[in-house]
Amino acid sequence: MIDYSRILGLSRSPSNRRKIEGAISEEGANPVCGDKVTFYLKFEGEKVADASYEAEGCAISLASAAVLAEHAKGKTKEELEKITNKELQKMLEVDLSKNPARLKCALLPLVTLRKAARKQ
Amino acid sequence: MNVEEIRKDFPVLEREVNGRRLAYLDNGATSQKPLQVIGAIRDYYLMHNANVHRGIHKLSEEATVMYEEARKKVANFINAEEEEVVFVRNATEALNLLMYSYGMNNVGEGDRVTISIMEHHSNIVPWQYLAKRKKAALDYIDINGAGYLKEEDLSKMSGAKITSLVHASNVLGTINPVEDYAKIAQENGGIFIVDGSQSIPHMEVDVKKMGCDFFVFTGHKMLGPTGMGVLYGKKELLEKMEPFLLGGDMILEVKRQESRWNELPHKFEAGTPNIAGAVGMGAAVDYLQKVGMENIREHELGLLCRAIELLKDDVKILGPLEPEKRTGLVSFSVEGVHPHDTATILDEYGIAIRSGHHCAQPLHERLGLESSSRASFYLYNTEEEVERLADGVRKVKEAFA
Repeated sequence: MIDYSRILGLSRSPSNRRKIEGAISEEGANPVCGDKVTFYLKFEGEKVADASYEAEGCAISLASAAVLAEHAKGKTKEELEKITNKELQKMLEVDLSKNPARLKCALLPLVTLRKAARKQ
Repeated sequence: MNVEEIRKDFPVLEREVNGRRLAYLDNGATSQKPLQVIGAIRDYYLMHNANVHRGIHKLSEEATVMYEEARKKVANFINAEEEEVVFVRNATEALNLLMYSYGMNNVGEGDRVTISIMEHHSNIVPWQYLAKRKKAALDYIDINGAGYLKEEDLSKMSGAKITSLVHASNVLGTINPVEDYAKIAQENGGIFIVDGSQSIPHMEVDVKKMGCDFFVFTGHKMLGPTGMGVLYGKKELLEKMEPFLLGGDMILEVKRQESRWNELPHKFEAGTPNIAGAVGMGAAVDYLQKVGMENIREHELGLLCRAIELLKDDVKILGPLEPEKRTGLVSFSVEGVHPHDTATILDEYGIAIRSGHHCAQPLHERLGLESSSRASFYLYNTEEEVERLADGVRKVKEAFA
């Protein structure tokens, strides 16, 4: 069973859901379900000084983008590269190991965040 | 028709999913298989397995008879001649066969191919490819607000070299009056193809009455095994067409530099066919005929009416609201909830529905939706399952309130 309680709150949270002008950005989409996410990263030195996102899609993809944007702050791009699928599920307080189709929803923001960081 | 008796033939319906009795409402994607179909396939492999059309020995003769018996059953089911029934893998393969064997040889620069906006990708992508390769135009018949094909667009069929339309939409449920459309499509020498994947499991189909040139469908949505589909074609057209796949079984004679093609329908069945699949499909036809297609249609209409009644205040239902003009499926969207989240929450209650674009992206784009949820019924579904669906949808709305 997927516990939606934390997911729902995160998916509706307005924090970090904005554009950062002049920041590195990367867009990702899952054409099969129509989920879309854009990450904005502003680096200061090695570390992410500010992170935000814009997204549309299902609750799981939105929640994933929300936790990742918050998590990215203060991290280096190497640290962002190392976030595992399991850690992401832990952040979301959800176990998607038995729902591979829904795991994809959660992974789109992670893949997009990594790609954004690689642009630094 | 006794649904409780029918359910005994489908052991999977007794399964528990997430602690609840499975409510399988994803029949538009694939149907479950009865013991009779599984038994026929098992019996074939256990006692008769051999290759067809070539052995002189007993088992090969039996396998050939069983394979050809299945063809007879399918031909009888749709009111066609045996030689007009070509076995393929699925409806997609049948449409590709038509695109290559008919389209590539009969459509040229400046010609038109007409389809509709409610087609499944399998009836869009091959024609896009053909149109690009041949510099032909691909025309779409639009839908109106009620979910029917637009009257004023129907003339797009006239003069098209090929018109290919879905009989029953896998999203809207709309049953197209294809017997009326055939005349328009053919009036200037064009051919008329009907994709019956979503109609033949649920209603009587008579290809002669329909007047189509080709009718394609898949077996796995009508209680048969996967990997088994049918292309029906008018004999005179199939005879004129070039083969699709080349190799064994489709030839009469092979010389070093050239070969002669086999007779119909074998000309279109290269290689060892899906013999067990055909046997299973034959058993599926037997099962459906025993229950009676009219009874199945009536049962599904009952479920559909109940579903519309229970869901209409909670969700937006897609497609026509006149039950007699649609098949037993309900596609819907819950405001403010992504269809994937709807499906996940319903799954927690053991209710299996489909969510996504249902391989009909242009239709969803036309409807202004990214995707939708779909509950699709079959002969073994019950009113109680429809009620559980409606309860589940209310729980989805509560969770997202």
